[in-house]
Amino acid sequence: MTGEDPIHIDLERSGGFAGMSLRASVDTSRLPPDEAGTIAELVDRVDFGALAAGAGAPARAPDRFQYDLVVRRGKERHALSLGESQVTPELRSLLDHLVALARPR
Amino acid sequence: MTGHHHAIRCILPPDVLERVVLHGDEEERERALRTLATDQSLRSVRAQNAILQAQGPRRLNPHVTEGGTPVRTVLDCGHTQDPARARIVRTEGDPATGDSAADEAYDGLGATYGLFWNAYERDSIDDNGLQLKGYVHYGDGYDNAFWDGQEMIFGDGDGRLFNRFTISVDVIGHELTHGVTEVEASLVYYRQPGALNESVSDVFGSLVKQHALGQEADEADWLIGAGLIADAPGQALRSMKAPGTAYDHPLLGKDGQPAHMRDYVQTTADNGGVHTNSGIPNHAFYLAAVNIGGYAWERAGRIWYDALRDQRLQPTAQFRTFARTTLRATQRLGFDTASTEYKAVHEAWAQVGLKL
Repeated sequence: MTGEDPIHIDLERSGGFAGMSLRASVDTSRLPPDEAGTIAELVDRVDFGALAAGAGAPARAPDRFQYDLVVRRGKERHALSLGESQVTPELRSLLDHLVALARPR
Repeated sequence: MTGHHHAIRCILPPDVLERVVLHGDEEERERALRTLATDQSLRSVRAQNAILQAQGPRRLNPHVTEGGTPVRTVLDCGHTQDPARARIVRTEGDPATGDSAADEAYDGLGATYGLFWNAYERDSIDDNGLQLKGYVHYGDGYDNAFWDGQEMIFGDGDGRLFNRFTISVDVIGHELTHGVTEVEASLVYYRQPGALNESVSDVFGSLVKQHALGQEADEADWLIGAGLIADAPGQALRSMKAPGTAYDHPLLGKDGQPAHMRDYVQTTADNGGVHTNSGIPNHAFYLAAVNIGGYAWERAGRIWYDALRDQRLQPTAQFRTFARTTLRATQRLGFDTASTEYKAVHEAWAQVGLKL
């Protein structure tokens, strides 16, 4: 893991029946190594290129969540705005992990 | 009636089917209507309803169902997010299962069907006896419920911030109403039309609860999702009576709904703030209902229902257009401009900042 660029993630999950916003911000350089490693793995599994290419406007379906995600690593930057129904299994693993981090203990 | 309608997937376009509805014999009409009803094209269903309304008698397929009873199925997702593999746990007429989520979904589907049938003679979501399917135990600690275009899906909540989403009958009514809105007005789920879409679901969700409890407008609490926030008695997700006061929670924050156009929230989150700005039309409905008095589903609810079905209401309708549509519906129901009902509706919109 040393020598790799830290990953910065900003997530907002909004909408859903309750219409509330949940925000999560992650900087892997400020996390314990195993935590940082987990996040890096989850990020690596996501095909951001395919997601960005596939999604035009985000899907807008009743009471589903809306995800606004920015992931930065070194010179890489991915920004996505997606409806819940557009989330791939790999992306969902990352999002669920981030949501759990944002939840108070 | 088992499973989906036994519809023939015709390659006939909707307008040809409509001609069969008008001129075919009984059997041909029945088949055409059934095909139209299951046609994914929303416009064709609206056109079908328009034809039926113009013709007079509402039920041209008596052999399928008389209308008046729901056909419910509850399925258990087993904490997966894969409805295709869900187990049927309760079908129409079955006794309670003992699983709260399943039984609440079953009862809530029935209560919603009951409001639309008893108040508006609407036979299920599509006004043609569409089977009502509810999927429970979706996901693991999933803090949400939604309508997926054909059925309702309910999460269990994480248990610390949210309880299970079947706990409040207005949530179930809200979700099913999204199906009705999709069939009738197809309000786009974005910005003002999206907030109208949301509001219509809260309106009829609340009416489902009021109807089930036999409450008049001034007896109702006008809360949406009461009991959904864990360990927060008295709190709810939304208040139609007092938008912005439903919850104030150390972790979830404070209810941010506006009650007036001057506080309209411009945002890119939540599809342009559809769950936030719904507070404005919600409050208008509340004001109209309490000022008209009596049971809210009878006059105020009928006005809103007819407005939703007005053929001139476009999917991109703004608040102001919808407000005008409710006034037109009021008059078409026979309440002239001097009536209590008309004045109440007019004044309600003025009070939320839409002077017509």
